[in-house]
Amino acid sequence: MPAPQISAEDVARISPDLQNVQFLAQGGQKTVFSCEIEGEPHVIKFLLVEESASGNGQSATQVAYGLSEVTSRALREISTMEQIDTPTLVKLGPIRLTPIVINGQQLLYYTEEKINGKDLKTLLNERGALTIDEIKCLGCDIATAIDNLWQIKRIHRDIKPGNIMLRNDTGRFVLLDMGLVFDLGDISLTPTPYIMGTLGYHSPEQLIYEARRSLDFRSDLFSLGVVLYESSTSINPFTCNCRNREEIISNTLRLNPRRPSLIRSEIPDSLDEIALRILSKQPHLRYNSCSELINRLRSI
Amino acid sequence: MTVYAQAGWGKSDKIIRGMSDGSIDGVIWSPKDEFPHSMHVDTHGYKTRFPNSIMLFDPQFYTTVLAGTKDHRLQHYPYWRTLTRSYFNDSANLRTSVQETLDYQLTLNIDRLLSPSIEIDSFGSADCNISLSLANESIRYHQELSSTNLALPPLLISLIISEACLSSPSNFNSFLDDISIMPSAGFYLIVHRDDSQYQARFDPNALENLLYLVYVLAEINSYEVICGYSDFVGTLLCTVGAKAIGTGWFSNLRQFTMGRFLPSTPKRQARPRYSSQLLMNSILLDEMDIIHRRGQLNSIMSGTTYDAVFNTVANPSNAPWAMDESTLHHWLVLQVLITSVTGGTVQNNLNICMGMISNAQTIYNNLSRMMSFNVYTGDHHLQQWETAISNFRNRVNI
Repeated sequence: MPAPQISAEDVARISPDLQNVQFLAQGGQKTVFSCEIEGEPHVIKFLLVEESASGNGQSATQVAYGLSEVTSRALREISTMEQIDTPTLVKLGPIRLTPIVINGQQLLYYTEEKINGKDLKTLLNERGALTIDEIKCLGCDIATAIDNLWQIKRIHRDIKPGNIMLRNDTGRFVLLDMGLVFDLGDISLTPTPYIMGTLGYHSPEQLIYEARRSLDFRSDLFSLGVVLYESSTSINPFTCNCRNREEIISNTLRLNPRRPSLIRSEIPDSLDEIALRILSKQPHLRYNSCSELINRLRSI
Repeated sequence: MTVYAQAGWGKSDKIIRGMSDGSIDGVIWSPKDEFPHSMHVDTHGYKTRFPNSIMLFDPQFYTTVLAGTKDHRLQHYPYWRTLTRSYFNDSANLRTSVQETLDYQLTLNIDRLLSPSIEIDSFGSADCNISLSLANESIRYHQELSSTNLALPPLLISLIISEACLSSPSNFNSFLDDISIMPSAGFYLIVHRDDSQYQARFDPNALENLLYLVYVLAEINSYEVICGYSDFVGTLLCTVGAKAIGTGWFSNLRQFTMGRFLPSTPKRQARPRYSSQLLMNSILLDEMDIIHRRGQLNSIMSGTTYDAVFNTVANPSNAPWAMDESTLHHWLVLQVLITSVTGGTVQNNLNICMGMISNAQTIYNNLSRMMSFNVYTGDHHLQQWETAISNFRNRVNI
C-alpha cells in the first residue's frame, strides 16, 4: 500500500482550522504534514484506505468492520495513543481518525502532537554517541514508554533511533510511531511470513515464528538495548560489518555483543551490564519490569 | 533465614528446639501429617512463640490428582478432594480450587500464601499448562484479595517439577519466559526425585537446569525462592539465589517423592546417620566407627554443639544419637554450610562452594584408602555437583 499523493494545499483546503500546513515526510504508508490548529503545532497524517480482502487471519476488529490491514493498524495506533498519557509517548491531536476523499483517493487522516526536536538517528549522525547522562535519560524515558504500553498489554515492536525524538524544550526523549503496535488481546494483523519491525533492532523472539505470539514487553527492552548500545558506541552490534539480511538475523539470534566499554572506554561498568543484560537472547534473562531497569539506570 | 523445617509426622519438640537454638528459621507445614485443628493451633502457637520465624503451609494440592493417594489427614481439609485432570478444563473449577486453597491458608497464622499446583512432568505439557493456569488464577485472586486485606501475606507460586523433566527439558526457555514475569512475590519449588531412596546424588543435567531455574528467578528476576525438600543439595541452590531451603527429619522430608503420599509397606527403621559439614553428606554411624578407629574422626566432624556426645564414647555408634539430636545437628550443619556460601556475588558464592566440594573430595579420597562407603554415603554426589556447577557457570558466563 503506497503513501497518499497529496499536497500541502490539498490539506489546507480540508478545514480553515488547519493553518501553516507544510509537507514533512512521505514514507511507509503515510504522508505527513505539519500544521497549526488553534495556534498549537501538530502533525497531520494521511493514509490510503483499501478495500478489505476478506479472508483468514483477520482480527476481530477487521472482521467486524471489514477493515483493511492499514486501516486496522491506524485504528490500533490511535487507540493506543488515546489510552496512554505520558510525555514519553507521542500524543494524539485534536482530530481523530477521519475519512476523506482527495484527488479521487479514499483517505484517512488524524493529528498528533508535533514534537519540536530532532530524531535520535539524525542526532547520532550529526553528533556521534550521546553523553552518559543522555544515555541514562534515553533509557529511562523509553523504558517508561514501554512500561505504559505494557500496562495496556501492547508492544511497540519498532523501537529504533528513527522512532525516537529528543524534545528541544524539555531535553526528554519521546517514542513515536505506534503503527506496528502489537495488541496481545487481538489477533495478529501481520500476515504469517512477515516480520514486523526494523532489521537490526528486532529481538530474537521477533525473528522466531513460534515465539511471536508470546511476545511481551521484554522484546521492546531488547530493541531499546540495541538503541542504548548504538547511542553509547555509535555502533549497532548486529548490523555492523554485515553484508546481508541473513547475517543480521544470525547476529541477532546468536552474537553476544562486546562490552560497550571496550569500544568507548568512558562507559561505566554498570552501563555495560545494563546494556548487555537487556540484550540477552532469552527474555527471562533481561529485566522483568521496566521500573527495575529504570532504577538501575538511575543508579549509574 | 536459610533453613526451614520441612514438617511431617512425628515432629515432637524438634521444631521448637530448632527455633530456639537458631538451626532453623521457619517451618513448611504439611497437612498430610496434621489434622486441621492441630494445624490451626500449631501455626498460631509457633508464630506467637517465634514471631520472627517464617511460617509456610504447603497445601499439597498436587496430591489431589495422584491416583491411589493415601490421603490421611488431607481429606479433612476444606480445599482437598480427589480430582481428575479434566476437572481443570473448566475455568470455574480452577477458580474454585484456587479460592478454597488460598482462603483456607488465610485462617492460619502464616507469612506466605502458597498457590495450588500439580506436578509438571514436562514443560509445555497439559499438566504444565494446568500448573500455569493455577498460578495465574492465584495471582488474580491474590490481587483481588489485596484490595480489601492490607495484611495479606505475599503469594508464592508453587512449582512441583519432576527430576526427569529437568534432565532433558524441552520448552524450558519458554516456560522460564512465562513464569519470570508473573507478578508474584516468589516461588516455592519442589523437585520430584526419581529415586525414592534418599541420596545427595543428583543427575548433573537436572541439577544444572535446577540451578539455572533458581538463578533466573532469584538472582535475575529478584523473586523470593524457597526450595522445599532440598537438604544438602540446597546448599548449591542457595549459592545461586534461593532464599531458604526446607528439610526435615525423615529421608522423605529431605527429598521429595510422591511415594510419601501413596500407601506404603512397613519399612525398617533407618540406620542412624551423622551429617558431616566437611563431607557435605550424611554418613552412617557404623562408618564413623571405622573412621574413628583409623584416627580420622576429626576430619569429618562438623563442630556443632551436638558433637559433644561423641567425645564420651569409645565408638561413635554407641553415642546417644537420637533422631531429635541428629535432626537438630543436621539443620545446624546445613545452616552453617549455607551461611558459608551466601552473602556474596553468585560468582564468589560458587567459588566458595566449589572449594568446599573440592575439600570434601580430598577428605573422601583420604578416607577411601582405609574404608569403603556405601552407595548413598559415598562421594558420588561431589563429582555430579561439580559438573553441574561448572556447566551452569559456562551457561550463564559467571
